[in-house]
Amino acid sequence: MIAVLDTGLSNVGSVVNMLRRLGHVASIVTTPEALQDASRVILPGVGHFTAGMERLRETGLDEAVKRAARQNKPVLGICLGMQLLCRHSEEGDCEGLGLLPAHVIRFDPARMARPLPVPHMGWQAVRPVGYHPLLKGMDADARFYFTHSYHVVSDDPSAPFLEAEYGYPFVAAAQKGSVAGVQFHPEKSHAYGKQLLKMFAEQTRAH
Amino acid sequence: MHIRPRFIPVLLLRESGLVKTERFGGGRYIGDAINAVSIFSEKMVDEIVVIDIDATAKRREPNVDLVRDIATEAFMPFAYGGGVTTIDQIERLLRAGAEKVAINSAFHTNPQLISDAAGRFGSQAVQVSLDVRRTKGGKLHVVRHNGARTVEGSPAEHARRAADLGAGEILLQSVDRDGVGQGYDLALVREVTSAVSIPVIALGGAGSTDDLASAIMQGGAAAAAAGSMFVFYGRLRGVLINVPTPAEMTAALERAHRGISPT
Repeated sequence: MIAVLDTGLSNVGSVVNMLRRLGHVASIVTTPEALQDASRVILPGVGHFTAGMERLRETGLDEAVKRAARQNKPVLGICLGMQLLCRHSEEGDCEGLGLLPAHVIRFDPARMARPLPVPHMGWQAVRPVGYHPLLKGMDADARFYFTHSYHVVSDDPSAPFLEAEYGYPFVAAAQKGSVAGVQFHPEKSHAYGKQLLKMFAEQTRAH
Repeated sequence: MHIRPRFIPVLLLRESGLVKTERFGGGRYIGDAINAVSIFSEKMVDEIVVIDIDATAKRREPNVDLVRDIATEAFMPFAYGGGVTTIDQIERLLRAGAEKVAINSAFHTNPQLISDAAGRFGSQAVQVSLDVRRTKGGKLHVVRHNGARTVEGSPAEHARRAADLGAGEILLQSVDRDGVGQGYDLALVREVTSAVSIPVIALGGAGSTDDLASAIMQGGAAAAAAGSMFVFYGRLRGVLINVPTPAEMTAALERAHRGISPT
């Protein structure tokens, strides 16, 4: 069973729908107990980092996600969910779950050759920069839907496996152990997203 | 092109059926909303906007159940608008599956809603919708309540205020160009895109891929939206959902970039 965590901040329905269309059993989970039965975990998220962390702490899901990672269960963070897996975010100057060796900063238009509007909203191509089972079957011209004002910066060069560019290159996907995060929304990225979620659902525990 | 431009069908709801208006009047029946969303999703459109055009006038609550059904069919982002006036409604709409909510009337009657929503859900979830009418003398007026009332201030001023309040995006619609397929009001688009740094979606007047491209290239918009163009087809304007291919849009953008007039 794929557990899709509902922290009350984002739309879990689309993730569940896409998984169900792919023929996988996905359940919306709100408590640590319900997470025990899951074979893999998705942490979606939209909105403010501190609100996300608060909800995870209030529900005990923060420890539950860490436990799932220790048990080597595949964990996938989506958008804010990916950011929450990191160790810290500039948004609210707040500690994250620390499961990805990375931190989160705001897009800095000053670093861009031509300043672009923030939030970054729209479809972008991604570039593989490392191997990960989630990349299996990914189209060469794959594009994904991004919508975010903050982005991940890796502390470990081996962690990122997808890169995208918005004014400057940024980490679009990163991993550590059985934990991975994608900055974009696979559940809103048509066939490209379906392929990635399909690989997540079929991913074996050890890779 | 550093940001890939988005091309966005706009679907107008009356009850749960889709309609298409002309200059904000009339309302020709197009078909079932969910079916249309499903087809647009199959055609892999970038994103859609769904607006309930009677909600504000009829003081109706946003149709969260419909949004949930739309979300089951839409594997791309969608914005939902029409009668959105409270944080509670926004939360329910976002949880039901909308990526963003489009706020129009409430932006004028309760601007605090914009900043509250942006603070709570993030700017990317908040789209402010501005309807603009041009007088015979050429002056631009922002209007609300489905075009019935005029508001003080230029479109650029309103757009700036929306951005300052925390809106992530502006949906800029020309009332006069709605449904007539004679091109966007590019001067209006330009006026607003030069005033703000948040993305602006141009809407109203698109009749061809060249029109869509001009909103991006000449208008400076981040996205070009259309209603009629994606639901009517052919000389006789039969109802048929149709979407330009990425190749067609790339070609149109290239033509617009080179300043070549459409044939």
